[in-house]
Amino acid sequence: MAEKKKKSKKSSGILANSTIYVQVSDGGRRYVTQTSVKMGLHKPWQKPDPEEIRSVIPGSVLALMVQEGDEVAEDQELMVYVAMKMHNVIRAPFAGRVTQIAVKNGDRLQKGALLMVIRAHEPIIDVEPVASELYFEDFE
Amino acid sequence: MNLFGKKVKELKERTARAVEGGGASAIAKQIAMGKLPARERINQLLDPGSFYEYDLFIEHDAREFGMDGKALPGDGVVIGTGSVNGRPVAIYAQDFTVAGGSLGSMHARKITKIMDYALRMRIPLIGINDSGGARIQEGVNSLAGYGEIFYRNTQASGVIPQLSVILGPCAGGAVYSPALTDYVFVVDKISKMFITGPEVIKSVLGEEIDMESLGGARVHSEITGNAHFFAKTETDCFAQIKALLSYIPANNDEKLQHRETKAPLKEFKIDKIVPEDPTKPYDVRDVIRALTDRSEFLEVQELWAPNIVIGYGRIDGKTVGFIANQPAVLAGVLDCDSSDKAARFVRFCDAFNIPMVTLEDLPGYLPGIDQEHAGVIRHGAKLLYAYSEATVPRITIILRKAYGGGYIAMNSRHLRADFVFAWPTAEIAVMGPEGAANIIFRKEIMEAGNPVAMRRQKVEEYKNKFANPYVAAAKGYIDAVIDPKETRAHLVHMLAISANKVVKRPSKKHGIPPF
Repeated sequence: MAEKKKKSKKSSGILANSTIYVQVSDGGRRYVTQTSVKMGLHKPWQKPDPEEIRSVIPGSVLALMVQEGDEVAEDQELMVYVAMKMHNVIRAPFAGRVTQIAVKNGDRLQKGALLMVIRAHEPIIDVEPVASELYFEDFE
Repeated sequence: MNLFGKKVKELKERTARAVEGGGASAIAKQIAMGKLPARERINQLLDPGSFYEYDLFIEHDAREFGMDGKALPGDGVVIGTGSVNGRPVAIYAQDFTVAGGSLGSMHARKITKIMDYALRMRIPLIGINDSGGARIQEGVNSLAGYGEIFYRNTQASGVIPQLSVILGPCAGGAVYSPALTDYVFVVDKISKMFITGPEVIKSVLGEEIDMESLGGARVHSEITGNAHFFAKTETDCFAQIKALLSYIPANNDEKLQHRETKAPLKEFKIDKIVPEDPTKPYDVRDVIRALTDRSEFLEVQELWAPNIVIGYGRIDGKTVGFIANQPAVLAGVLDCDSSDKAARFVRFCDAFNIPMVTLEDLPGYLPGIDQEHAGVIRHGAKLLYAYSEATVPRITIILRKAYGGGYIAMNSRHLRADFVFAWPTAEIAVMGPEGAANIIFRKEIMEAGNPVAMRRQKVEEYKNKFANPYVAAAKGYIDAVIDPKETRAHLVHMLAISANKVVKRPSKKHGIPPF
């Protein structure tokens, strides 16, 4: 069983620079394994940084309510972000200081774009899910 | 002591040994991990004293790899029947203190036995998963066990509700039983689900990730959508299970239970929630609470694809499934995940004869390269399919925006909604006024001396003409334009008159929904 890597030049559904693996069995028959287009587009996983506030939908910045260096309280309004014609108010997920604002009014942004960075006053453990107390009335 | 007394004494001794599971030290370890022992879980979940256990004295039949003569009490799983809220259920709970809850052939046979009982007796099945996976020493017999479970999950699907509770690891092939069931419950820091763990991922792909970020409770509640209910503790999780079971029937032939009717709470004022300005978001769950008995609403998949809200409430004492666009998140758009989420919920409601109320306020499907490449066509089609296929009473209320494909998908008249109502704030059109004006009046705007002013004038013109419910009302596509304050009264009436709804469908083996 031999194995070697080489660069593919084929184009049929396969990324041009994707790695292919050629295996030769004892009987001399060649088997070719290629990675898919989707595999080629895959980016390595990175742990999300909760202090980076990013866009969750394509849209544009309508108004900024804070400046770099500002102290913000939890739930304080940071900006109005227009997406799908809705004026979405983005709020501070925790109390902290705005250390960077990466956008300005009128910027059109992709999903996942960095909007601003807030250094948290308290170490971030986990964001609590929304409690819905009404569920349990009957069963206590 | 007479012979009978001796025999009973022996039974008691054997029982005492068997219910110890993996023994005191293993149980102490389980508790140290923040987990309850299997029988304690069952006792907390079921009505007090209602549990009857079967197959307590089962023994494994493995002989290889030193398994011969090794005692595994109950073979690592507890099965039985009991009641929740006074209604019968079947339950199994894997016991991590016995050989890590690993699944061998007798362990699997116990699970399939209780599944068969549940299906035959037409009662809900609850499965508590806490297992290291296949029992390697039993080889292919262990794999056969999983296959037998998956087959029964599929046979029981749509006949009895199946609930999976993940209270520990659930990895490899084991994950597919929960995935085949109707509702998956997870607990923060305790539940772990994945096909291949961090070790394998590291060795094959060279990527590093911790177990919690790969398949923890939060990941499955927020990112993958595999889980339906997220709880901080096991006790909270059991409360969620009881709440869910109070809303759904025991099987697909059972009529929904009728509870006493109670008015919604006064703090939810239905005419004060939705802003008139279509660019202003609001929380659609407040609208739902303004409609349901005592303003109670049990939300399903609260943390995943929150741009659509699904869940149960009661109207006039009877369960109703709600599907509502959520303008507070992503403007309430339909995308891959929200379509999947709503479509599956619609199919569950339809299978178990739960009438559905759809609250509509959405700008349409989400544009974007990532959405198109993720297959929004295929995913979006699921929602159309699920609604079109459903034969339960279906009512739609258009609160505000109903544009384009979104209007069609959200239980429109054209997909055979029984009743479609619109509030006076509704805007039913092929697209939003800005986009439409740009296309229809492109020439006028381009040739105008002041294109900006002309554009504004044309948008206003379009808005006045089409951004209202009366064009659709004139065609009979909506049944009535109603005062928001009268919404609940309309729902009570429409649900009452559609209680015996009959739909004839062409005969077929089954349809082929877009997966």
